[in-house]
Amino acid sequence: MTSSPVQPHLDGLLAFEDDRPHLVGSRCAECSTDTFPVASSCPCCGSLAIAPVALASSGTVWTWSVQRFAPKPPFRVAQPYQPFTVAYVDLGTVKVETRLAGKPVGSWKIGDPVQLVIGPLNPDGSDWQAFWFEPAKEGV
Amino acid sequence: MDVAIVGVGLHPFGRFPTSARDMATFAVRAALADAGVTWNQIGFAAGGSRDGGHADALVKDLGLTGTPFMSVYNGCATGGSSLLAGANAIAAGMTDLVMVVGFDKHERGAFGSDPALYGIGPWYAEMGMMVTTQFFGMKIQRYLAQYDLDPRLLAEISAKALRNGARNPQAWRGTALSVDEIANADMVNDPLTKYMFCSPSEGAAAIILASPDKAKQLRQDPVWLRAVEFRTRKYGTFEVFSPSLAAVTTPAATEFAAKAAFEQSGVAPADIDVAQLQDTEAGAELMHLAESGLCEHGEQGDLIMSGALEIDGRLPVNTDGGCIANGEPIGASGLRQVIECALQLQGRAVGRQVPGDPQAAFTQVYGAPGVSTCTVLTR
Repeated sequence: MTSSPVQPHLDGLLAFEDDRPHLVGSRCAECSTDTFPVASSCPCCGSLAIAPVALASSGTVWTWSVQRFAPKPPFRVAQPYQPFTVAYVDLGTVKVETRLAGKPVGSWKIGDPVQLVIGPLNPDGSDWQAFWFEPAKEGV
Repeated sequence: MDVAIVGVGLHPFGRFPTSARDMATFAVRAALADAGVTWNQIGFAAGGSRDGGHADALVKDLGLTGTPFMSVYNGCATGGSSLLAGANAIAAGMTDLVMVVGFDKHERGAFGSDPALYGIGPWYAEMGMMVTTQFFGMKIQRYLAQYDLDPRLLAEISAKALRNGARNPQAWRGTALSVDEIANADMVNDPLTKYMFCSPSEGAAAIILASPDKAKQLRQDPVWLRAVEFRTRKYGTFEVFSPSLAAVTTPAATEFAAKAAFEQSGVAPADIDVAQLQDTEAGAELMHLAESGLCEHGEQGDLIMSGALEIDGRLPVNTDGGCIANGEPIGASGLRQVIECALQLQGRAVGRQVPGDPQAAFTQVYGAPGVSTCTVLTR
């Protein structure tokens, strides 16, 4: 893992390896449980023997929904509001909550293969960064 | 457990100019009157509210009698926890007469939540994931796929709740809607439309508990609280405001609370004649039917489409309209369920009485983040 060239609000959530992003979680040395984001103790067994771990950068959609109305602040809303897809993506060792992009809302299916992306999320010209998952590309 | 319900009092749920405190004292006085006792006879009290003020401060209006009054808060399961505290006070021999109360008055619209209160960074809300209704959508989406259930069942559940609410003079929502109207309404968080959710509301509920000896002095038809079981979640459940979930899945807190309640009471799920289940949205009732042990996971479709869950069915569920027709004043909601079951067992459920002289009832509340209280009641 290398230090992440991300905006401060994402500090500690992401890191890069060979320029490819991955989420940073915690792994428990005693029960091997992974969690995201980095925690101070293991949510499964309560152990303090946990250390940062690079989570898989691709997985499958475990469940999803569409956010049809604009969430309350501090949500970073682009005007006009565009509904977006939210999901849990199964990364094998843990399921991570995320937004999905790259397909029309409502067209996702449980089991769809996806990969992590980081970048400016809002289509309003703002460079405010976020992470999301998009349909996995062949051969990546 | 040998604890009797000897009095119930409800301030209707909905929207009122009345303060939360005044709704609470209204419900308490109604419950005391129903039991035929006075406030100065109460040896222990417990109560809770999210937005209505401190429960123990109600003594200023009820009377400064010196009674121990425990304030309780466990999210949507607050009423269940108050009931547990009150029932234990009787079971422990602390007193023979207890009052429990729940009350609330919430702002309109979905509960706004500060991620810091949940130990989550601001990025979670900034990215648009700090939304309770979103969680409900994702949870039932997974459940429907896992057990191959038809999303239209959600509209059926909501239609039943509103139909029952229309028969309950104390419910908030008095208008029934058709399954098509509900299914075709605006989508909020797929697969849940706007008529499938309960709304925050206002109201109060109070119950007077008594020891067996005291109960026999007070009334001919006490209802017996056979079990109150409270559990928090284990690692691996699917709860609101979770940036990550475990790789493995574990049964929900309700499964453990319900199993313990049935064991403690000696009543089997098949013996239950009427039940009130947490229906924050229609998917919650669907899942809680199975988590409570009232059916197997995946069997809900047959139960719903056969009419079994209707007031005149084999297993009437949410006979007063549930949270969907009553809204959810968080502190009061769990006690409303217990009051509805008590009224049904006593044959006092005006406009919505379950026929056939029901003998056993079950309630289940579930709240964030993963707490559940279940009760079993009998004649």
